[in-house]
Amino acid sequence: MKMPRFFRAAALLLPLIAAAHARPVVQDPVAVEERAEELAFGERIFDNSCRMCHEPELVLQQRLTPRQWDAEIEKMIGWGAAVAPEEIPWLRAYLTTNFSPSNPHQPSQLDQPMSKPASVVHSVDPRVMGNGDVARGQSLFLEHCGTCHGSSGQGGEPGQNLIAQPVLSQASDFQAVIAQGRHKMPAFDEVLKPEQTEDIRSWLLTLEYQPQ
Amino acid sequence: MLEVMKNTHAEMPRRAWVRSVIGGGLAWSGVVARQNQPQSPEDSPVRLIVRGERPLNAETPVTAFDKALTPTEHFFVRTHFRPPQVDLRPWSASVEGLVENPLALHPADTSFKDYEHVTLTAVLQCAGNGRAFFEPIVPGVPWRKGAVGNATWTGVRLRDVLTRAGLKPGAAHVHFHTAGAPPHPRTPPFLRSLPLDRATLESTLLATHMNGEPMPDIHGGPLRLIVPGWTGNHWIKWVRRIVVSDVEAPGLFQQSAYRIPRDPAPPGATVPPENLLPVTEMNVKSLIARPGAGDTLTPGPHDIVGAAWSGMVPVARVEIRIDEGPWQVASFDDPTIEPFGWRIWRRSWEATPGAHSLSVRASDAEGRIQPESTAWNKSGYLWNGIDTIHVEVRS
Repeated sequence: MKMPRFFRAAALLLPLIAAAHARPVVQDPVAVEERAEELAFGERIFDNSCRMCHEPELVLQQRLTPRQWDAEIEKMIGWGAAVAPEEIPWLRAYLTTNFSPSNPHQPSQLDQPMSKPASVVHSVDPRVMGNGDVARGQSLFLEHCGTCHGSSGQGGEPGQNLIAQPVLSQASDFQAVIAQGRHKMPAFDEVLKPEQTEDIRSWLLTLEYQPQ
Repeated sequence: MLEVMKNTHAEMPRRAWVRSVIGGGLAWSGVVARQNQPQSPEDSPVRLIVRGERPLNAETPVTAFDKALTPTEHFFVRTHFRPPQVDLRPWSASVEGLVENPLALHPADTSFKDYEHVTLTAVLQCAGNGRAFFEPIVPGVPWRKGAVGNATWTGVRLRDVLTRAGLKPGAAHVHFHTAGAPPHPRTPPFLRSLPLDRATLESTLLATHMNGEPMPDIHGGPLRLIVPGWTGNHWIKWVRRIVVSDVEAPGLFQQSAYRIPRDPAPPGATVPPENLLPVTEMNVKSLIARPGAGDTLTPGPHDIVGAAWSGMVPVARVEIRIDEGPWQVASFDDPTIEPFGWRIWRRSWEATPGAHSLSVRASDAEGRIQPESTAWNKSGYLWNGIDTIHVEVRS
């Protein structure tokens, strides 16, 4: 991710910016604008990196101290979150500013009713298995996906574990993700034809997750 | 008592559900709706409250807790990672480790019917239910009141499975590996274990059915560990491997998560590991389902209704307090006691105009009683502070 010019310059002043976070009110209009830009950059990191594994509600409902946020960021990076070291201050600023105990919840952030039922039962359905060429799918995966998702789909830097992902059951959803991209993954619509994507899905469907 | 239902599995085949994709935010998980859902009184407008959509964490509105059993559709969902795909091949779970005869369980296979099937009623509650009430605030899913429910669970006794496999000398713990995979190789798997004495209790089941129906994927079907009386972190979903061992499961989720101080410690205090206890048994707790918090009521008689439960022993007594008045004993709807189920209680109240606070507290068969608030712990486990709601009465 390329940082805006402002941030590249400001990176040198990180300690000062961090100190500024402690001030609840920033009066200087230039500082206000810079701060808004900084928080927007932090939000972008959040969207691109954290949302790879979880949707934002979990975070939007938290109200934590800077110390607690530091512990969460450290934990998540330890768990594989794709946040570069130089991105941490911006992410931290976004989280500690917006989701601190002194910043109460907006009503819209709480008690959102779920619109659809979640209690469903899947039966084994052979139609789920892909129609593609499994061997070709594996070589296409190694060529285009393995760098991020690991050579056997187990996940890597920064890609998720893809083995036994429920999205694999939904050919159209899988096609859409590959074609349009998601979070840090670029769109592959000009790289992979739909039948090649189906080959990849078919190969991934042959893999079984074996907890160790 | 356990209700023994031999071979119930044969009478409850997994239904052939017609798939239809849910649009919107749930499409991520391949969650599908079941068509032609039967119309019943349970088809009320109850909607789970979403705390996180992916992975799905959603709690039941407390107003639904006026029923002896929580309908599956209204049952809270707690997932750490994404649910696994369960529709590719018939489910199997291995039994291995310190056993004489390693074996494989196939819940959908006729061989599974050789095990006696039992049904029991038990409360399932997330260890973090009520986390949002701790002050100072703690990190984690900010559950309020609804990460709990009471259901029937049908399956086979784990001890019968372990007996068939034959325990080797030195067996002391049973590890449960879930097929719910972590999203990244560096993310610790949700690996948990039970001490052997808990694993071999009559009530510890490997369940295939919930409330008499095949267990939905999101609740851990096709095979879920049921540990009545203990918090939900023990109720492993999507059981794939059962490993008998001489030691506890390794890793974060058994070795350092789910711990609380042995003695109350002030917020922020560093508690040495030897002074931390694992969270296991639930503590005594009660909630007011009706009236709802903030309701406006007409003057006159109203029933105050709710649910109460405890851990390894049943709830014995529930008391209601109106404003700053005396505690008054409530009655139980059903005199029979399910050892691990909750009890619906009620008490009539002659409401007078004005603003009122209604409180409930329960005590269990061992005399443990709900406190005003629960000792703070850094991950917000086992909240069981007295439940108080406020209502307005006017004509």
